Amino acid sequence: MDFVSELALARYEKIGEIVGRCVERVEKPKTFSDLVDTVVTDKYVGIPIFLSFMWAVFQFAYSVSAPFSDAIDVFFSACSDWAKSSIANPQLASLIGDGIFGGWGFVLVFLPPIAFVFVALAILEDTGYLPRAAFVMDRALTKVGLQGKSFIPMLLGFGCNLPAIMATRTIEDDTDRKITIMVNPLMSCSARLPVYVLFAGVFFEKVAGAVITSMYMLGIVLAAVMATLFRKFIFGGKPSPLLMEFPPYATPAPRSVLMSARNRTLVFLKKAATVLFIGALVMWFLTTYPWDATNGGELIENSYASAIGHAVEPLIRPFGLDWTAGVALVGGFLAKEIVVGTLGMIYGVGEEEVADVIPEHFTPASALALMIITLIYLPCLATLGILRQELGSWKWTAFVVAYELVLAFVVAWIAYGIAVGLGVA
Amino acid sequence: MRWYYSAILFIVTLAAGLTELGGGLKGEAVFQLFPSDVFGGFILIVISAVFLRGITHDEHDAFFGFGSLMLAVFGVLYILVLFANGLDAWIVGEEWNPVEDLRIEIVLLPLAIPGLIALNRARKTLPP
Amino acid sequence: MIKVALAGNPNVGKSVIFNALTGAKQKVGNWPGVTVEKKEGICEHRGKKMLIVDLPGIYSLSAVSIDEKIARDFILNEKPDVVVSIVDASNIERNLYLTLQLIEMEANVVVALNKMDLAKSKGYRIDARKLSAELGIPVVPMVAIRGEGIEELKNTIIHASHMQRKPVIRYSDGIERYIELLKSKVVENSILPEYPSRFVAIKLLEFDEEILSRAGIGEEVIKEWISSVS
Repeated sequence: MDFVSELALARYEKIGEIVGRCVERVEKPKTFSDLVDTVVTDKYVGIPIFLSFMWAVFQFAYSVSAPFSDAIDVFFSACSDWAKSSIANPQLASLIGDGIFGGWGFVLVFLPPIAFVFVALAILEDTGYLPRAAFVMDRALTKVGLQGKSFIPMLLGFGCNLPAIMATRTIEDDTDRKITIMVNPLMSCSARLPVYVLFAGVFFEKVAGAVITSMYMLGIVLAAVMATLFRKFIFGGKPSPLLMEFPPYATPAPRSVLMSARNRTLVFLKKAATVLFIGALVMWFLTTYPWDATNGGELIENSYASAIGHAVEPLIRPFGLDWTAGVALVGGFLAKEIVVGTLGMIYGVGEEEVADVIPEHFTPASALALMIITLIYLPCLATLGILRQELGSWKWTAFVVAYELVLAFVVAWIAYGIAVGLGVA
Repeated sequence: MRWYYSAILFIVTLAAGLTELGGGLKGEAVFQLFPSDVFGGFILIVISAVFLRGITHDEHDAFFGFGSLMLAVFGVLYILVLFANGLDAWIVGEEWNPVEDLRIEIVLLPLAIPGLIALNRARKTLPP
Repeated sequence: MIKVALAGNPNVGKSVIFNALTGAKQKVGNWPGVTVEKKEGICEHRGKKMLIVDLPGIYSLSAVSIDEKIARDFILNEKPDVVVSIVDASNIERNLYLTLQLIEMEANVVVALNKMDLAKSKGYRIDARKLSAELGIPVVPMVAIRGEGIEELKNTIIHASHMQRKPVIRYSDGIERYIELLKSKVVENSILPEYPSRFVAIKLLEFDEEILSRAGIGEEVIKEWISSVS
């Protein structure tokens, strides 16, 4: 044995170990983009920075668009009132007033937030920031079977699942994309929020904020779980590695931003609006007919909607929910925003007084069950349409609906059981 | 840029963030003056963390500049929200007092200026 | 007076540090019996006097070349109170080789981690505190030409002269087996007891000429001892 070389090797080996632990090789930032990237991909503040910007996107989309939504709402309400007071034939008046103007108004009220989301997204895209965001979230996401590029769609889902699912087009890998789409509806969209606010406010007053936040957290956790399960049992493979070149940062050009937002908004309008509009008409029909029985839409207990609600009731009675909740949930299939409004319609009160009537039909435990079911049970009609479009087949769409229904009942059942057991009922 | 610029901004944004957070959790306006919400507080704390990180990092200037950028972005955002609320109140026909929407983030805007100037200088002198 | 030796690879800034420590109080001569330049100087700091001896620049202490012999002899025989191992931070792996050998010799080593600015511009970030913990000896980061770290070095030398840290850095298990074996033989047979036993063991393993002749042992004996393990 040549111990001279052995010892020399042993020393260098030792040095390598020591140096590995004490010395870090750091690329000196050379360009402006490098400089910004040192901050944006920093291991400590990178993720918080990203989350802050995403929150800014939401604030921008929902708060700043609010006046536009309200303007649309006011306009169509006025049209609706005008129609109902000017048209002689009561059925026609109802059709045009509530059905058409109501329906249009209902759809178009969505337009401003969605348009603003697309504007904000276009700005983020044009600055070149998005690849950095994907990079920063990638490690956390690959642990649950997703990848960095899944994060923006998942986060957009908190606003509305429709543009969120459309945003998955940036994911190249087919499997990664499918999984992201399939768990996206679990990200609690803004339409579900009124349900949480109403029921958490009535039954969990002091901790309402915490309850609402837990609903969002529950959605995230379930999404992570389902993504892991899908990856493991259905799709296999691993999330594709994030190989990306960061483009240099640039100032977004207003024209490009507006154009991009405009195009995407038009797509949304075309697809979802037809579905939503038809859905609103259907809802109008179901809650207004049979005309005579309901006396022109006043006595909803006698409507077709009520019949459907009663039919659904046996399914939800185990959670302490009655037929009124049934109607609301069925309405929620058309659009989740309808849930609270439907309850108002059924109880015959305005949206403001609904809170007072609620305790007559619900208990804290059943309220919890309702919130959970609303969170999970099925995608709204518009989202369903987009699912079919982006998944490419009815088979997968049906699978999504099926797993969500099952998951909703299972989780609600567990939660209801725990709540009752804890004496919350 | 000296590190004490970052130190000052760190303390100011941290204080603002904590008070807004506290106010948001209790449901009150801060000092009866600024409306508050929990997330606004969190974000100010994140911004303060960026300044803090810059103090010990090699690339101090980058963190200082970016933290200032964030302050500016959120300040402008809240100004937009302010105007949106005003517009909304007019449309819906409600009472509106602009002072009620004057958030801490808007008031902190001027603090972002030195950092923004530095950032812009860097943008012009360095390759993209 | 504290006897301090400055050791390090050529071009690590040894002269700069020597001058910074000794200033005008230098003396230049020759190492005994050879034509190699010897520089000595006095450094006074906080009431203490240090004799600074600048050893020739070397890459290792194998005692093959004159420079290496001089350095090794000085450390083994003159027994300086502190040996400052000057390391070029921008070339750290190559430089630490000598440091490890100094540690093997159980010299009282202090690392002067010089040229930190050059390392940083090359993109290296070195955690001096961690390095000190890993090596078991003090590490003083410096940029000698800017005068940074000189005061701290002086303090550390004085502190180390009281402290006498003699860490043992173990290598891989495979080679440690042999080192341990020879070490026990060295102790058993009282071979060169005036030198640290681990150091002697390692040198015997390397068939180091000087140690072998001083101990009066031939290579065959070592080979025999080694084969008795395997």
